[in-house]
Amino acid sequence: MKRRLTELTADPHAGEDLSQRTWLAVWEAVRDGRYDPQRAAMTTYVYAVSQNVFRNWARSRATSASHAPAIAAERATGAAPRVDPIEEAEVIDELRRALRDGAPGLTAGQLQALQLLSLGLTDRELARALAVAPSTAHARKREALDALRDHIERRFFTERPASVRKEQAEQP
Amino acid sequence: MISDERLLQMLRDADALNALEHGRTPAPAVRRTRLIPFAIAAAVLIAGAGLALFGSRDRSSPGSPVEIAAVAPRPESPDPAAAPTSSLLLAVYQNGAGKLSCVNWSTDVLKGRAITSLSANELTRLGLTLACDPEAARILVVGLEGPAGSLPSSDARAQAVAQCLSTTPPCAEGVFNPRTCAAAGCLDTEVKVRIESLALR
Repeated sequence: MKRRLTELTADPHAGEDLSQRTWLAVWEAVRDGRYDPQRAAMTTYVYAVSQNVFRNWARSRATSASHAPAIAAERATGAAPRVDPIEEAEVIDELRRALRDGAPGLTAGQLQALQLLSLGLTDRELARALAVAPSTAHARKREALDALRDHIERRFFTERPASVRKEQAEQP
Repeated sequence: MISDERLLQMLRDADALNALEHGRTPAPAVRRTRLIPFAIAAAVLIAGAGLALFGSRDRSSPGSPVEIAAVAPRPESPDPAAAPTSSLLLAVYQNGAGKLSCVNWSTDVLKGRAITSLSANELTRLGLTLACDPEAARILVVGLEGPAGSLPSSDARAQAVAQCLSTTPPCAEGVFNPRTCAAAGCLDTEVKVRIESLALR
């Protein structure tokens, strides 16, 4: 975790500092009963807390040009200003299961694309790995992400699946 | 609704945690109809490469029958005498039965970076850029680092190392990285090795 935080912050001292803040936050959450082992694995929870700690740190340094990409990425994600780490950990745990074992509604091809995307492959790299044209790879990425989003939203949110919403939106 | 960027970020987080805790597990098997033409093409390649390589192998797989696989053609083969290399990347493609189907290798993709400085995902991504067999079921991405003379410097040696890696069973459970441990028998003692494995089908 410390290594990851150091990579994210590009500063060993900040990485060390955020690592300590993460462990303190985890300890407080456990002490106060905010961590529920039934909802997420401890490893995932610690990871989610460290993400939160990093986001807060990045926001506090929003004026720094070197961290502008992190801030921009954070804004682009549409994440709430404060994400409950246990909720985030729950979703990440479900994604971990999906990557390992698949999930209802995900085809083998979609799972394969997701496994490759989880490595951080670009569309071009995905096309190469799947031995298909870039446009086909892009289409597969779209399908896979939509299917995964449907699964996550069915599992955790009361909203209807994205594909249903899309169909409804297309209706006159 | 979760945005694509957010979903991708969480996917990467999930993969990083899986890699940290359990390593990667194979994806469900899937067969595609276009396997047949590729299988025919692969058979032709295997036969051709086999004839070409059989006499030129400078290192055979220990304790295993000679098995022949294709070596991806590369535009240029580095001359070890002219440009000594200290690291290289091997992409070892295996079929569904775990047999070697194709090998590709490069000294360029690492761009001088030490294999220990790469994350598991970076190493895998670099390996995937060394395309070879579109129908392979698994790729072993092997990062090698060591004195130039100890690293494979020809297609035949790369092939032999890949063959050895594909036929040597992983070390017993309990070893930190059973595949890397098993690779020790395939390489010179002064070579550092890192191996990442990814199911493609």
